[in-house]
Amino acid sequence: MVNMAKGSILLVEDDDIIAKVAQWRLNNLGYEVVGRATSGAEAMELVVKQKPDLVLMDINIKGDIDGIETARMIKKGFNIPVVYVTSHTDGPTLERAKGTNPDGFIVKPFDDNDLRVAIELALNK
Amino acid sequence: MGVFRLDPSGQITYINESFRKITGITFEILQGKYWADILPKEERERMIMAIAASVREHKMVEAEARYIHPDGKQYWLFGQVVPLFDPVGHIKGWVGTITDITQRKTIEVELQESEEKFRSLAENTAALLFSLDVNGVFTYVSPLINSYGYLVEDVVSRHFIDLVYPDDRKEVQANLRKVIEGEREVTSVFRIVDKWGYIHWVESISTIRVDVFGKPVGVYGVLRDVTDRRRTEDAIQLANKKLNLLNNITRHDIINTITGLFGCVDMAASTQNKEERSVLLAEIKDLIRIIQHQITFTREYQEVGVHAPVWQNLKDVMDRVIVNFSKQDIRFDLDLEDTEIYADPLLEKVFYNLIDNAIRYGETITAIRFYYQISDKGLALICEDDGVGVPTETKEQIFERGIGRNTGMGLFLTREILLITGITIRENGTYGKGARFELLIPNGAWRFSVTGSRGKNISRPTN
Repeated sequence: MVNMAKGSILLVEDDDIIAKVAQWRLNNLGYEVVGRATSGAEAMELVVKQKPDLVLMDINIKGDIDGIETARMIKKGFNIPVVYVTSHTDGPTLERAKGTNPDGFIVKPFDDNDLRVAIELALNK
Repeated sequence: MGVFRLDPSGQITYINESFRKITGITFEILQGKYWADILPKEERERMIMAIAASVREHKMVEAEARYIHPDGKQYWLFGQVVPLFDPVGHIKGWVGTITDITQRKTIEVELQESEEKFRSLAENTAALLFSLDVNGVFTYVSPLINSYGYLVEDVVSRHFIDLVYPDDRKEVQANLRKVIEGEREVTSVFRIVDKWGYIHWVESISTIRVDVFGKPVGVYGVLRDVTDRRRTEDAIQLANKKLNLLNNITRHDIINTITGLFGCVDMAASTQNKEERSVLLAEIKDLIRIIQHQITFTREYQEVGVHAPVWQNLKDVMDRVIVNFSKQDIRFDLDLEDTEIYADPLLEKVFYNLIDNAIRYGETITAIRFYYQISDKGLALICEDDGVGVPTETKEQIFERGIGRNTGMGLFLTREILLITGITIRENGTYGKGARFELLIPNGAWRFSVTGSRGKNISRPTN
């Protein structure tokens, strides 16, 4: 029997352990992870190729473009919902992230429930 | 000009009208009086001695003396007296002139007072005053220069730029040019190096010097030592940088690691596969170790820049570091002579990290060599090993504080410690042939000790 995934998710995360954990949790929640990017440029390539239902975006990623700038481009160019994953709960980074009208925030450390609620809200917006 | 004559006994026998006007005394009163009696008592002896010399040496004498006019005012008179002799050489009298020089004398006194006032000001002010010619050569420097180890006479005729820290010379020269070319006043902050090789931050205000025709002939300047202020500013900047970084580590890096840790715990709890659980438990242990490293790093990083930099003998520092690696099968070659560098007291940690890294990641390493090369930029201190080296694409990354998992804090810390005194570090070895770390110590921040490693006080500055 083939399980139908609840949705396809692109993971943008440069830390291997967090990516592994997030993928495991997303799979457990019934989502399909269609790719993992570690930089903004890689994320844009995978968005074009995989056309995910949602992007789970870490703010501090490798490369010249950070997660906030990458999210801005994805939302503008593809209208795909973006949920930020961040350890910053205040300060200028969060303010800048808010400026991109994100579809959700997940604050690290997160568990299954944090992921589920944020993703469902974003997909059903 | 007043003219007078005296007989051989010194009594006045003639005065002209000008003499009367200058002295305010008529000939009737003066006639037959001894010439010196018209002078104030305290001037008489000096004048009598001068006249006596004229007789002895058969020549005209000149002298200046104060004179109290009958109106009570004081005047200055300039007198010239010629002795007159008969054919057999006996004195037969004198003829002389007097001129009122009160106005000139008053100006001279005022000028002298003014000079004394300004000299006293220049010598007692907390700022160093100087003047330069159009070529930037000192024509005057106030005695405060002594506090930098130089005598006034050592500095006058030397080029101003000789005192400036090498890295700042270009900017200082440009500013001096601006003043010479007509900019009214230029304020600049730069470093100077004293006779002992120590670096001082100074603030200089320079203005143009012009001659009577308005042509620029040099620069007047005031130099204020702002080392303490600068140190405070640097300390605040460093404290802010450290606070931000420590905040980042505790609030971002550790939380990231904890996120991974929670995930691995959940994964380990949910798996039935023993092998997979064992791998996950090992990962959990690694993550806990990373948090431990992150916390250790915050403690070490907190120490950077806390204490003022000091001159340190490289050999002494290396001796203390190498002891920690005596059990390793590594050969150490040190070719450092008696070199001293000006660095944060945590310099020992720098060399410890370099050796520790070489041993940890060098794989095939058997020897580590430390030596130096001198260039116009400064002293390059090289740490070279014969291990596998650093891949080209990671040569710069190895100095970055790792994002996420934070491995390699050691080289980040190394760079931060060195930067406190402007020392830079880069890796420029050939991958496959060994690592080569080059520390560039700018001129002014290194020197050779003349009397050996323990002779800290006698050293040759390198600027």
